[in-house]
Amino acid sequence: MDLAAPMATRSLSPAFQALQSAFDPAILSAASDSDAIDGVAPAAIARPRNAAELCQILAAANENALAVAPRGGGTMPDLGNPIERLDLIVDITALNRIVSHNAADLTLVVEAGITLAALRRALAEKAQFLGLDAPLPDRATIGGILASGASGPLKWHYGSPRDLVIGMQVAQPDGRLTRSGGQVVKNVSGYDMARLHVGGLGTLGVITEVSFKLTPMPRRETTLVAHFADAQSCVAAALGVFNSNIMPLAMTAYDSNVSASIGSAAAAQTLAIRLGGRPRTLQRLENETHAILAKQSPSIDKLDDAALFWVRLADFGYQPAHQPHMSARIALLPTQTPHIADALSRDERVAIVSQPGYGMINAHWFSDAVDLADALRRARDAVHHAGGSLIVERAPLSVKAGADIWDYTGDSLAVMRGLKAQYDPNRILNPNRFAGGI
Amino acid sequence: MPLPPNLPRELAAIVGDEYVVHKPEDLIVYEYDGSADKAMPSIVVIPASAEEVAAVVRLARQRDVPIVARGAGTGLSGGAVAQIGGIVISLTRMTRILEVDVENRIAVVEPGVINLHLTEHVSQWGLCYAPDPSSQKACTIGGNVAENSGGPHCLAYGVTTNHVLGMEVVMADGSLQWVGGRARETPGYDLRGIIIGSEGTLAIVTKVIVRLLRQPEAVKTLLAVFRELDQASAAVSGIIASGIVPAAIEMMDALCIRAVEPAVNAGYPADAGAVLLVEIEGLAEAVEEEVEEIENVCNEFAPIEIRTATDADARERLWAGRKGVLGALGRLAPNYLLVDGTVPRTKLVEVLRQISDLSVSSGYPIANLLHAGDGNLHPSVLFDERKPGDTQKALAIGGEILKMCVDAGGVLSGEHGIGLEKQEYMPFMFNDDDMEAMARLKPAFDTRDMFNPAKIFPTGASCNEIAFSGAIARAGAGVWI
Repeated sequence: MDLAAPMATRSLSPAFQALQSAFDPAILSAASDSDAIDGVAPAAIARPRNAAELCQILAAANENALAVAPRGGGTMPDLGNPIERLDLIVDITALNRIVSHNAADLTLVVEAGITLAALRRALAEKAQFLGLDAPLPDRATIGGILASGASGPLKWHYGSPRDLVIGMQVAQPDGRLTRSGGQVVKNVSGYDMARLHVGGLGTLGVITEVSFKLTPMPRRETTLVAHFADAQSCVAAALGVFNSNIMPLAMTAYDSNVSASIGSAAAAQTLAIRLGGRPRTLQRLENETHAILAKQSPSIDKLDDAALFWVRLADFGYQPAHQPHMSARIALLPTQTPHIADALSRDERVAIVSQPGYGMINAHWFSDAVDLADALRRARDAVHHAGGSLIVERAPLSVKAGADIWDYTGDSLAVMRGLKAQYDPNRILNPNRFAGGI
Repeated sequence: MPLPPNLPRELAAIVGDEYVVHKPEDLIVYEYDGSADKAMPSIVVIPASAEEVAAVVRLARQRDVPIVARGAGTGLSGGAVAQIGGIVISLTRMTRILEVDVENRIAVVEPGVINLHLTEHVSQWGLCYAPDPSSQKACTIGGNVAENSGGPHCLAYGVTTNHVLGMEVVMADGSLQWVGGRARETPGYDLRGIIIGSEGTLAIVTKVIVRLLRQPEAVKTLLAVFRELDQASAAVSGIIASGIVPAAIEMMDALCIRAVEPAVNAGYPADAGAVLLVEIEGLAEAVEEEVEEIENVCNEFAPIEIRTATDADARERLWAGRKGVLGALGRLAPNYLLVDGTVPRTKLVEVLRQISDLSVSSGYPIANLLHAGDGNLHPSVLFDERKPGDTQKALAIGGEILKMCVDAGGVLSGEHGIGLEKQEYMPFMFNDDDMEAMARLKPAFDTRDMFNPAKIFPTGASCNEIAFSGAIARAGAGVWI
């Protein structure tokens, strides 16, 4: 396939030519069709090697009113409203250094393009741990995970990713590099600017560096996987754990579609509980969890090395080889979560993974034989009725075009638009992709 | 600041005559917060509802009068001081706990609810509200939101922003809006997170949805006494490095001990150079295992003694010395300047040494009280305001200490906020671009700079000019940080 032709046509734009002449081909190169977002192909990809280069590119794009989509590992390319225009993808994956790891302080500073897997490996050498997980950790970058609001089951125990961030450096669209926060765990010096960028889909700036607070790696771990004959007993078990003194590292429920795909034993519903602590503590956690689960008579597997199991579970629904037609991220109150998960999974074409302690469901539709727009409407009605919200992470463009992707129903769009006007007045960053067409 | 002549009457029409304060003798109590910053508001209103707050804001906007929201006034950086006058909205009548969703461990409260009252109220269901600022008997949830307050136990549990799910706020245009919600995640920019800790400059909070935690099954407090401050600091680093995150690690130095021992009879040995107080919470087994390890770590640094306690009364006795320190400092000097800064935990030894050197070279005693687990220092510079120049000298020392903190990789404020007290120090930490990016938040929320103007960012005054806005404590006995 000759990719050069359409790209060459696009690159004729004088604005882009100006950019091309200003940057080293090692940094700026032609894009391919696979770089398209929502069917809009960019003219080029920039791969800055450091934050200063990233700033130069943004400044040039801003001056020339070129639309920019920042990109990490590209693991969640469909999130957001259809992009309005796109000239340039800024790939941050070369900004992948560990800036500093102060193990004795339990703090870490990394560039935003480092993958979660690389970060975990570095921390594991010092028996430390960042309580953050996300799908496809070999590709997903820290900047991308934070910007897209991706996360996984560890957030019940360790808190939302936004709560692990203690400092951030951001490239503003005008090319200025600004910092907020610090490298200490307790800090109220100035506005907490990182809050704007976590979950902001890169619409107010490009995250270039992040400081985290770390936790010690649990001394020992074990995972109990309980397979239930019916959904009700799984719901009861999950609520039983939620209402006990047991605080697992993670608690995830999934349905039979998921178990079939990740090689877990066949069951109507499965509840996986990850426990950690020092030896006597872990024994207590295990005994009590077992007792709570056993009331519902599931078959229970104990996994002493569950690392691969949890990675497979986190990746489910995001693997390029096994991609759903539509995916949604649903936030709810904890007590509502098992009920909505159960209601959704009655449609056998939907696969459900949920975090009942935290209040989160990931729903994946694997068939396009259903009317996805209608399925989305019905799912959202059920979620709204339970007081929650549903964000579409992935859907065919035809569905996305007619749907409310972000489900923002609050009264603060004017303030959010005001923020966009302050930080990205030329609307060069991911135009239209965020809530309210920001 | 002169008010439009009809304003008192118009405000009274909203909140009622008895809830408008405008006589100078009545306004005096609203002149201060817990810092030494001081400015007279033009008028104070005490609304009873979110709707009344919104109506006051709309009126103030029409009349172009600035507004400062105020909780209990326990803040330590001048956040609640009406620096350029205007209307102070006191939220102390909005004290209802509106709802407790026990199953989901959530409460909805009005901003004037006192922090400790919330925890006491939800204890009947075995729940608690984690942030526990030292002023928790007086400070309000609304004020905690404004300052993103912490507390001794935030080492394990985090600060206010980690425990607030959503808020109803009055924006500067007088509209009521909800930010965040009941679920842990909500769509859109995290306006909740950006308003928390914004020191009342972006919005006025009228309802707060907080996350509650289950009360820990077991609590154990360990007190370790060391001969040298360095040994205690090293023990702190050792505990953190051993992979334990206690609920709290508090520390005090020899000067604090000398002040507090005669006042409280905590039983600290005469040769004590530092006292470490560690609290562990959680499952009974976890508490036992972790306390064993902490004792082992402490024993590596030749402690004079180690005491532990599990029941509430005995634990309270171990805490008594720690809690009595600020009140007892008055025994050593007529005044003290309380400084608040944070350094990376591994820099504690180094920065404490620098502070000690500064004390020697300046001739001013400095007593060190620390939330050591977080690296949060509270050095108190002892001085006598009756001696000419003493106050300025103490303030200059405070500035030097903050510079040391920032130079060691730390920050200007761990928990008291910037407010008026530290606005001129912001350039220690942030460059012009950083501050400009922060300042651009304001017009997105408050185009006319009506909420708590002239705070957080430098005004261009030199550090000497801000001398009298320093936190020169007049705190009496019973106050602790």
